[in-house]
Amino acid sequence: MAGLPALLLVLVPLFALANRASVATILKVLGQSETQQAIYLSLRTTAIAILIVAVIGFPLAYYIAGSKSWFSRLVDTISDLPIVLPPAAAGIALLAAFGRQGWLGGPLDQMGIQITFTSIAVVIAQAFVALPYFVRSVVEGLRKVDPDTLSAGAMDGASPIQLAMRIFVPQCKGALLAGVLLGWARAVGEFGATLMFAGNFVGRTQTMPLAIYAGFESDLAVAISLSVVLLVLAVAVLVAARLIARQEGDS
Amino acid sequence: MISTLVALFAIASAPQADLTVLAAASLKAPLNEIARQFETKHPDVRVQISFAGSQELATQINLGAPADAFFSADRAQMDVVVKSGKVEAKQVQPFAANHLTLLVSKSAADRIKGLGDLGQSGVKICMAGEKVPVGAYTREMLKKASAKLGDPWLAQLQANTVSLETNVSAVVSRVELDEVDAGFVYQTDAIQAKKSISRTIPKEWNVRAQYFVAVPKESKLATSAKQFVALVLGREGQTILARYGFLPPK
Repeated sequence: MAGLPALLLVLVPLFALANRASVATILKVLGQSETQQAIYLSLRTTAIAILIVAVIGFPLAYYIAGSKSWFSRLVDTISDLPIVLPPAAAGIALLAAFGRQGWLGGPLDQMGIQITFTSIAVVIAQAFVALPYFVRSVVEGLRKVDPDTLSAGAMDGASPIQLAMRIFVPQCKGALLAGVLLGWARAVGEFGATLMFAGNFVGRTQTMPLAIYAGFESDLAVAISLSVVLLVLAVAVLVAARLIARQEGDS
Repeated sequence: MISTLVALFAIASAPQADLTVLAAASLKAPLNEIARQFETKHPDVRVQISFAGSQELATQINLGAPADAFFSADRAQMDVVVKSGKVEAKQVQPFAANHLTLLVSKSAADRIKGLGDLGQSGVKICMAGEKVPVGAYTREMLKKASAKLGDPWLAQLQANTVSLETNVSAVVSRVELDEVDAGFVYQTDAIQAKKSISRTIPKEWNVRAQYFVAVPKESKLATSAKQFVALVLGREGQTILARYGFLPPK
């Protein structure tokens, strides 16, 4: 019972949100071109972002899980930074790196490659914030891998990639999936860094959260409907992650 | 000694009222200065100003945000709160005016000399969204300009637009950071933008941005709010506004 205030803090706004929306309005809003473009853009960019996160995040998680040195602990802490860094600060940091006057963005711009105001910028912002969630989850999974099978695999003379595919991936399937789901959920919700770094343009950089913000100023029905869609997705992701975790626990 | 302590105590415990002002982003510099003047004259009142796009502020007022004064950069957003009954139509007063200008980043200065150059391909342009007052004025101006510069020019300009911002300050920042080549802002913003260059928009296409102020019905500090508005409308307020480049309301 003492936990009730905390529970209400989460539930009351969510029920209030659901109560504001009607199925008819949501369907009408979902039929609008701008909304569809926002949803499509969000799905497209987050799919790419989470793929990149998985590909570059797995080796990092492997290193963190396998080493006990002070350096790996430092790397571990660094990889967590995007969780605690305010998104607005992340946006400025990304601009400083990839903006037209930025470290990497400057030379790229000279070569005719533009990052800011494109869907690439959206993907970078999403990958930046999603990475720690994936790495965190996979590190936990890797630490549970049976050391015996590992050394057996190593004696087989398996290459690191073979080791990863044959032993790690099957053994921490659940952790990988949970990492993908949680990272994806964070990527879908990315707002502040995207707005500052990628800008706001329908079809190119206006993802669902940005469309919610735009709707807040012009058409509240859009803002509410898209919020409900994101809420449903969030619930689905959480339930899926929990189910996976439970299956892992059973096996 | 004791009297000093009593006086200090009286100052420390003097009930300070917070006057909540919601104001268009372009008013930041002059309104902050007017607010400081007001606080000197009324030590019991502290002026708290929230600057944002007028459309955002109008939405906040309609959703029940407390406001003692609303300074809008156009009539349309003031009408949003009049329509919802938050502000009485007869309370609305014009207090300043402005013009648009084209703000060009230093790196694009030799490529963009005027509006016509925005029709080249590869130029990156930024403007405010259509509900933002400066965005609405920009579209009005572009429509007039396209009658002379042509529809292909307008189509290319639109294709060159990379981001729609929620207030004029964000447009200024994008140009000042040199992330875009050009952006449509108010003349008053261009005066303060130190790293960029302003390109004049010809008179026949430019629009007159008219600013309006009102004290919402539900203001709990209506007397102080009206005094603040009077200061803005009075000689002192108008002098400060003029110093930042704003034009008189009529």
